[in-house]
Amino acid sequence: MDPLLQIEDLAVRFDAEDGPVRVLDGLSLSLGRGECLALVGESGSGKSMTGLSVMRLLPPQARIAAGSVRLDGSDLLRADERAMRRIRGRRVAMIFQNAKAGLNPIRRVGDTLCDILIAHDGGRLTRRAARGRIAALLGQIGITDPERRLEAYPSQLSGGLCQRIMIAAAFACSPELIIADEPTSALDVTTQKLVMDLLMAACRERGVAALFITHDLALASQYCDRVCVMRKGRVVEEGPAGRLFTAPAAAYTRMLIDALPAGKGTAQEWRAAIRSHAGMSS
Amino acid sequence: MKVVAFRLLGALPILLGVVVVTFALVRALPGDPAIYYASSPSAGPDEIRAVRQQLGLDRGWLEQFLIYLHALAHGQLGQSLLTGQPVLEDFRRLLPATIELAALGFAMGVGVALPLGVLAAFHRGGALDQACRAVSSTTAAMPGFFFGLLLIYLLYYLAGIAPEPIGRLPGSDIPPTRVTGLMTVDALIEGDPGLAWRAFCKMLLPAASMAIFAVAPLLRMMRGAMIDALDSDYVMTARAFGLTRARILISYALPNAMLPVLATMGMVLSTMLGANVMIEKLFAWPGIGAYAINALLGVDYAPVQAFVLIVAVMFVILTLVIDLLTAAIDPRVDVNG
Ligand SMILES: Nc1ncnc2c1ncn2[C@@H]1O[C@H](COP(=O)(O)OP(=O)(O)OP(=O)(O)O)[C@@H](O)[C@H]1O
Ligand SMILES: [Mg+2]
Repeated sequence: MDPLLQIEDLAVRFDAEDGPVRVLDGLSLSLGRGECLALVGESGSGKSMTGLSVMRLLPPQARIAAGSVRLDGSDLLRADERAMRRIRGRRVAMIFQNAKAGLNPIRRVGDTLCDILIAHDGGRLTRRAARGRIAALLGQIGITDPERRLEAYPSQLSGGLCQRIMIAAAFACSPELIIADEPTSALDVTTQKLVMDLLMAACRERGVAALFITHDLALASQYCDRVCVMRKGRVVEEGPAGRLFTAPAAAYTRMLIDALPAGKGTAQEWRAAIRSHAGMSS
Repeated sequence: MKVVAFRLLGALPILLGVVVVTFALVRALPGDPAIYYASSPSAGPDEIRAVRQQLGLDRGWLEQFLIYLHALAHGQLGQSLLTGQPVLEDFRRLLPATIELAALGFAMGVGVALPLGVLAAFHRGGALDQACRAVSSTTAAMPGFFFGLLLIYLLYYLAGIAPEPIGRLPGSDIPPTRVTGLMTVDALIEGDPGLAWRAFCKMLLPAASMAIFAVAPLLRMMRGAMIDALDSDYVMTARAFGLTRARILISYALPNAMLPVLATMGMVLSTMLGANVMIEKLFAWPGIGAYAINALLGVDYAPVQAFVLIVAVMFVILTLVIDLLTAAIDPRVDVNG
């Protein structure tokens, strides 16, 4: 059986003034149904561009030069815009770092969520019915007082709550895959944990596959089965989270592990903590 | 509605300031009404003194000002020396012509600038975008009355497709019975669509000359705001959730882009109110702008003061309307603020 998502030899270029910039350069990875894969790498390594390539939402200057992105066997790079629109949000949902800015500032959160349901319902769903389903969904996701939240505007909600609402939005149409691009990087540590727990629990409960993009190796290993380490537009190492820490094969991965923040203790302690955690979850 | 009353009350000091400044400026202008309105150029000093006394101009400035304020407080704008009518009466007669013209001019400006701005934003860097940029820099550099002259020259003098650029109706037409004072509306009320159409055609050239003030700033603002909206995180997210292009445009990009455009509209309207003086003069349009210019040239104090005050009041009201509209679109704006 085909994997849910299979990216092969993907090459993306930016047409800049001084020649093309290779943003993705022969990237390959695959993701099974219900699997949680972390995509880790330093800033500028092309993680976001990978996610956006799957969604076919790359900036206009970007050009896909080669490769394929198969969702359930069919190549998304060959799909037309109409087909892509139906896939976005329904089969593959993507959430971004800054959830507050991702919500229309002058539209009630509830209306924004209803828009998503209605966009994928072929015009049968009434706004009232959509509203009810959205409220129920927010309740399931563990957001208290959903009715009142839906009446609010994004500026009246905290960043953490906005991200939880985006997560609810991502699950609204029961997708097969969720791409989360640094969903918690803009949040404080406690909220970060809350949001990650929520996201990953929801994925596992519903059997939704997740592509979790982060630069935080610790976070990646804590929540995901498998980790892909990216550098300069290609995958340099991939494997089970636990193994990556105990026996990193690539020098680059070792460097990433060494670069883990030492502010809250020695690097040694950190690594020990991660190792034990990774060991527990695998 | 408490908000509206509160805001209008808050505008009173501004209006008072306008009253003081115009009062002083008008009197600082060269020319002495007493000499101007004496019976003949050869009038002796005695007669001039008598006229001055009659006009109340022999009193001290402060006293004159207090008398003026007192009259204002009772809703009186004074008497025009040129027309011999109360200024209020003149305005009642002339204001609808100005409003009809300004409204059409503004509608034309908005109707051209906003769609072009949106299209230019969609086709950034494309041919249409370049053309829009050319249009907005040309119109920004061109004074409205010059554009008016150009239109008259091309469309009336050369091509002969525009009606004679004088007044509100062709000379052969009899004006409809006055109900609203708006020529097109009155003609329709009288059941004469042909007349309404001819009145409308008469407005096209002067209105286009006024619209030219609105096009450049609105086009630029609309394009920029639309680009910002299209590049925003919320539009990106909306696309990532598979919303249709129409929905994204109508509920996401456009309303957000309209916010800065609305703010610009306030500014544009105020320049248009100022510009209408020249345009009305150029097209012999019987509105308050041409009236005020004539009064100014004729050292007729009361109408000039009243004109500036009326423009200031209109400006206050328009600003309020724009703020209310903004607050209706944007939940983050507090109208009380
Ligand atoms: N509009 C653009 N024009 C040219 N190059 C770009 C553009 N956007 C991104 N890039 C380049 O693409 C590369 C990959 O960017 P990408 O956003 O995928 O990195 P990332 O791994 O997500 O980094 P981060 O952790 O900072 O989000 C970067 O080197 C960046 O310089
Ligand atoms: Mg990124």
